[in-house]
Formats: sequence, structure tokens, C-alpha cells
Amino acid sequence: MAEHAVQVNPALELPEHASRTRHGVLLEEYSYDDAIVRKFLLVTVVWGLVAFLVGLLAALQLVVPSVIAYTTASGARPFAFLSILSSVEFLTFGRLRPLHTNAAIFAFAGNAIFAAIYYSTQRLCKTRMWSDTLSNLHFWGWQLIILSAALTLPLGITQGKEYAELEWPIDLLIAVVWLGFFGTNFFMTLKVRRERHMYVALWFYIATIVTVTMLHVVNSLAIPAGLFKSYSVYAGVQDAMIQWWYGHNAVAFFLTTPFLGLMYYFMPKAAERPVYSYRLSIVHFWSLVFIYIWAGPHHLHYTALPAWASTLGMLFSVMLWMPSWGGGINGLLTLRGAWHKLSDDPVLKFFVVGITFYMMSTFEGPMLSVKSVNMLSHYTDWTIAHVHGGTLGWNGFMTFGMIYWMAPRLFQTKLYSKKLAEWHFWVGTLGILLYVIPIYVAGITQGLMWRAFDQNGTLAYPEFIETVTKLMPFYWIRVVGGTLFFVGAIMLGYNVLRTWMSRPAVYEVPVLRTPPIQPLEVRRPVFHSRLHANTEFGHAGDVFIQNVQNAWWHRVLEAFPLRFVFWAIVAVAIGSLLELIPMFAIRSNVPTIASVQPYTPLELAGRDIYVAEGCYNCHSQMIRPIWAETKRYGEYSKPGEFVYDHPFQWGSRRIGPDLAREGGIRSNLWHVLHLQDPRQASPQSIMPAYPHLLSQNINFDEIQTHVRAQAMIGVPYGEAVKDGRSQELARAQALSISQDIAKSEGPKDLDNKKIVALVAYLQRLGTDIAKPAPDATGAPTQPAQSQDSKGGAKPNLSRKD
Amino acid sequence: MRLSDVMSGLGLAIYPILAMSLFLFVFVGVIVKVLRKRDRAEFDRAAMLPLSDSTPSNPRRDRAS
Repeated sequence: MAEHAVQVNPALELPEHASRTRHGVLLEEYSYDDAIVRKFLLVTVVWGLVAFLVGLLAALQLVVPSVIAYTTASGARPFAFLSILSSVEFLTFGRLRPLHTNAAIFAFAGNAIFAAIYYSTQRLCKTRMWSDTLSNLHFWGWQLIILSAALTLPLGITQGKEYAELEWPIDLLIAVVWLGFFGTNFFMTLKVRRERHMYVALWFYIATIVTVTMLHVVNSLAIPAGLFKSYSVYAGVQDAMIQWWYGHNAVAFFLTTPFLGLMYYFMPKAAERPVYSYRLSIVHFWSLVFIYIWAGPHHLHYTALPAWASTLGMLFSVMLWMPSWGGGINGLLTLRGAWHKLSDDPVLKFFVVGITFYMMSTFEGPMLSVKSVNMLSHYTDWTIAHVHGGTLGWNGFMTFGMIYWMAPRLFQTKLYSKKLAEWHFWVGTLGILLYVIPIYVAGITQGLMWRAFDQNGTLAYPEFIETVTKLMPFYWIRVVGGTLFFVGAIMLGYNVLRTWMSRPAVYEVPVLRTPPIQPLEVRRPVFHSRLHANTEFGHAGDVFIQNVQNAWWHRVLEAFPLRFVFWAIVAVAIGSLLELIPMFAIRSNVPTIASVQPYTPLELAGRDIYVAEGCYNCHSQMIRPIWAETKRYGEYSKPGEFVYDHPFQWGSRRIGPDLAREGGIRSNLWHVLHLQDPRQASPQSIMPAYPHLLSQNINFDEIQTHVRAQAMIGVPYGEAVKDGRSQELARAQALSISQDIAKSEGPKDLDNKKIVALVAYLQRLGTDIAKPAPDATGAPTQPAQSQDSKGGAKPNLSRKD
Repeated sequence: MRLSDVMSGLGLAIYPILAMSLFLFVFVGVIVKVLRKRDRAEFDRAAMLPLSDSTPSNPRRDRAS
């Protein structure tokens, strides 16, 4: 750096916190802010324990009903207390599962990447974070977000979009904390850095911050309907596109790029040698950033999404193989010539297995995106296994490795027990394997059972429940695997706690001295033609060639690495958004169906309950155009059927059957009894019980507000938006349903209970395309023309149940 | 009036092509830059950055001394 530093007259007065070398080079004094890293590190451990514990509870919820049924049948009830997991309103699977995913992604992984970024950015930039205040606002703001998520999700306050469940006030807070506090602080730190070259890890961090901001803002656009309720401005197919563009890129830019930055910083640290190939790391970065953002539509194969869009998503997913494996190999080969350290260092063990899981997941992901594989894997546990290989293996183990490396350095002491860390590694690895392998088997088993036909061409397993009970042994092994992973995390917690307890009374804060970056002077050299007796054109050509060879212009670019990388990523982000807009926002991409009408006010209230209870976590509403599915569930779903679905509820996993054509198949009473306790209707069911829906009242006053909010985003509610009209309509419909229930000897006086609204919604699902289309006055006239010429107007609603 | 009506009216069809060309242009530029031989020394220096930030690489050893 010295050659860049300007020679200044030593007699001049020195600025504060600066000194000079004996050659008169100005040195600025600074120290790193490790207090903020310590904070993020500690909460990472705490939230990690919470996230794993909630995940374990969710895993238990899927097996507990079968235990209770078995023990009840045999007369003994030693496990009856476990029924708390499937009948307490706030602890049902539909509410706990979002809590688990949000805690794992945003609390555990989120705080881990903040710890990594605050530690490495300061050191790579040779400066303290730009503002300690912003660092702390970021820390406390993020914990506040996590706390509000932990409170609202069990209460059923949700937007009903996977990994983006948090309601709008929390969404606003996320935007402020992420970009306003964290982003500003990070970019200003880059601006005041004392190392001209921005190490590749910083590039990954920049991509993370820019892209997550965009994803979050675009996907969370919603119209509030009260403090704790909002409706996505997108509907149906478009909402699905946006949601999975978000969902996939949350994986890319929240769980991949920041962890790759972490890998490129901490892996060399732990291995005590530079990364295998710095050039490869740059190619890795740019190809990931370019390709990842397009891959989202692969989550929607064979759905009502246009086929070309999902094929495009598949192609880009397959292309991701190359950079992902290039990056993984780059990380592993950093250990070249130092593999022997692996036997002695738990940190390296965690990193090597973490990177291996990164490579396995990024091999498997593109494979799952291939349509023919996806046809089998989609809606099954295969997805769950894939995701947990990535999160437990890659995110979890990279985080654990980083914590074991940082803890002794941050707390300025020895790690309490290296042996315990080794145990954590082995227990954790075994836990992952015991989780992932049986769930793969479960996924493939269930997928094959769903599509199996017998010799007569009828479904071999017409009862959905058969394909669920078959999975119970695998679900039990998963509980064991999850427990082991959790036990490993407890070992980590104890180790960190004891390390922290042996910290010094006062932390040493080393003062560092580095010269500031001097502006790079780029002078454009003047070249003269080296040719004799040539044409003007020849001389000009020679000058041009010399210019290119000298590459002074290249230095111009290099003088602005921050601006270049920042704007390139912004361009990529905006470009990809523009690329996707025609898919999700142009109306002609969604053919309308004349007979599809908005939900009635009561059905809308029922839909709100469906969303609040998180039914989409286990039930899809999307029948793919596959023989096995149309045979089981009825006519396949059309894009035009979802134009009033704010938000869409297609779901991603069928722990229970698809509900897209549920309407009209069963009686109102069946639904009431089934929701009150699913075992009354289907003895082996693992669905939670919802007795509270029979006792809680519908808030009719809210319905008017909700209808108006829907009308604002384009749902044609006509005169239902008038004061009190929605309530009247809702009460009338509720009364007629409750009378029907009472008439069939069911519970009486349900006309103001939530269950009636939910039943109204369920009975409406998928029925519209069979109805006649209304004329301009709203009265039905003639049969609807579906956009599908063959059989669209006369859907096959027969269903095995 | 719905969001999709607004979006349809904006005439965005040209932008995807522009975006795609922009991506390709930047990507090719990056690859060319990375493969240039003359930057080797710069890359080698950059690769050493995580190891040259004056953090003790082994706290036990360093603290004991």
C-alpha cells in the first residue's frame, strides 16, 4: 500500500487518530467493532436452538396422532398429554411450521450471516463499521422482527405466502432494518474502506443486500385491511409467479450468496491458506448472480403457470449446476496440501461437510427442476428432504464451523472444549443423515403410491390416507434425526456459553494503523503511430491497438470497483425483474373464465380463516394435468380459476389431499365433524383438530373492511362494498349453512361461528367452472366456456374418498 | 383498474431483450477480465486478503506467548 500513499510534509499537523511512518506516510488508527459480532453470534446460537426445537415439535406433530390413536384403542393413555400438539389452537402444525421456517431462515441463518458480515467486512475493508449506532439499530431491530414473528405466527396473523408470512407492519420494519440500517451501514463501510480491492466475499454480500431488498419489497406488496391483515396485490397465477420468484431467490440470496461469502472468508482463515482459485471465485459469483434469479418458475411445473415459463425456469436451474459445483470445488480445494488438518480441527470438519452438502443440494436442485423428475417429486417429502439437506447441512454446518472458529477469537480465550465440538460434528452429521434419508424414501414412496394404477386402470391407492399412514415409520426416524441435530446444537450452546464465561474482564481492543486509499490517478497515455508511410487509417489503427494493449481504460474501471459491482448487481436485479414482469403482470397471460366469480363475503371470511390456520402448509389447491391426479381429484386446475385469489393458495406439499375441487363433494356436516376432530371422519388422520372454530365467533364487522380491501385491488364486488351490505350477505349465507347443519342432526346455532365461514369457503372451492356464466346483469344465462376446449366446461368432479 | 392492466399498458416488451443483452455483455466482460494474464499478481494479492487482516490465526498460541 505504501507506494500509493502520498508523501506529506511531516511538519504538518496530524489529524486525530493518525500517525506517520518514518517515511512520512500517513497512517490512520482504527479498531474493529467486535462487540456487535459477539451479539449476533450469541443470538444465532439462541435462535438456532429455538428454530430446531420448533422443527422438532412440527415433526412430532405428524406422528403423534397415530400414537394417540393406537394407545387410546388399547385402553392405555400414557401419551394422551401429547394431544396438546394437535389440538391447541396456537400450536397446530399449520401455525408452527411457518414459525419453524421463519425462525430457521431469518432468525438462525439471518443472525449467522450478520455475524459473518460484521466480522469479515471490517477486516476485509481494514476499517471499523461506518456507524456503531446503525450496527446496533440493525441488531435490535432484527431481534424485534424475530420476536414479533414469534408472537404473530402462532396467533394466526399471516399473509399466507411461504417464507413471506409476516404481516405488513413487520414487512415495513424489515425493509427499514434491512436497507435503512444494515444496507446503509454496509455500503458506507465499503465507501470508507482502506483496502482498494474488494475481496470476493464482499461481492457476495452486496448481491445479498441489493437482491433481498428487491425480492422482499416486490413480493410483499399488499393492501392493508386492518393492522393485522392484508391482501397481496397479486392474484392467482401472478401471485404464484412472484411468490416463487421470491421463494427461490430467498434460497439463492439469503441462504446461498451470504454463506458463500462466509465460505470464501472463513474457509481460508480456518485452512490458513488462500482460496484455491480466486479467478474461479469471481466466475462463480457472476454466474450465480446472473443465472439464479431466473430459476424460480421451476417450483410450478405442471401447474396453471404457462408451460414456457416453467421450462425457462428449468433450463436456468440446470445451468446452475456449473457455477455451484465450481464454487463448491473451489471451497474444498482450499484445503489442498492441508487435508491432514481435517483430522484435528472440528472447524474444518464442519466446513468440509457443509460444502459437500452445498454440492449435493445444488446437484439435486437442478435435477428436481427437470419436469419429469418434478412430476414425481412435487408435493412429496422429497422436497422436504432436499431443503433440509441444504439448510441443516450447508447453512447449519457452515454456521457451526464459523461459530467454533470465531468464539475463541471474539471472547479472547480458548474454546471451552474441542472434544465437545467434535462430538457435535458427529452427532449433527448422524442427525442430518437420519433426517434426510428416510424422508427421501418417504417422498418417493408417497409419490409412487399417488401415481400407481392397478390392472383395471383405477388408482391402486384411492384412499389418500393409505399413502400417509405408510410414511409413519419414516416420520419416526426423522424425529430421531431431528433430535440428534438438536442435541448437537445444545452441545454448541453449552460450549459457547462456557467459552463466553471464561472471557477476560475487559476485552483487548487492538489498535490498527493503515494508510487511507489514495485516489488512483488514471492518465490516458498519448500514443503515436509506430508505422511509416502508411495511410491515415493505418496510423489511426495502430494508435487504437496501442490503446487497447496498454489497457489504461481498464484502470479507469478498476478505480471504481465499488460503483462497478454495485451498479452491475442493481442492473442484474432490475433486469431480471423486467424479464419476469411480462410473465406475471400482463393480463393476457391469464385467460379468464366467464363463470369464475369472486368469493361471497362469507366465503372470503372463510378463506381468511383458511389462510390464518395455515391450511396451505399441508393442502394444495392445484391439480396438475396428470392422469393420476385428475383421476384422484377431478378436472385439472386452470389459470383463470384463480383470478380472485389474493393471495394464491396452491401450496407446495400434500401432507393431506388436494382441495382444489373440494366444493360440493361432501356435506356441510361432514366438514364440521371433520374439522372438530378429523378422527371422527377418518380414524387414521394426522390432521390437527380445530374445535375452536366451533366456539369462536365470526367478526362480521371486519368482513366489510376485507371486502373493500379486495375491491381496491380489483376484485369486482359490486354493491357488496356498500356499508353493511357485505355483513348482510354474510349473515344470510351463514344462517342457511348452519340451518342445513342443524337439519342433518349436527351441532346447532353455528350461524355466527367461524366454522360456518370455513365450510362455506371449502364448499365453493373449484366449483365455478361447472357453473353457467353470468350475463352483464349478473344473472346466470348459459354454460361457461372454459379456455380449454376439451371437457373444460364439464369437469369431472368424481373423486375417490 | 388492476395492476395487470397498468403493467400491460406500459409496453414493457422491449426491456427483457435489453436486460438479456446487458447481462450477456457484463458477463462476457467479466470472463475476459478474469482470464487476462496480466492481472494474475493482482488476483494473488486479493486471494491473500482474508489472511492479512492482523487477526491472530491461532488465539491459543498467540495468547500464550
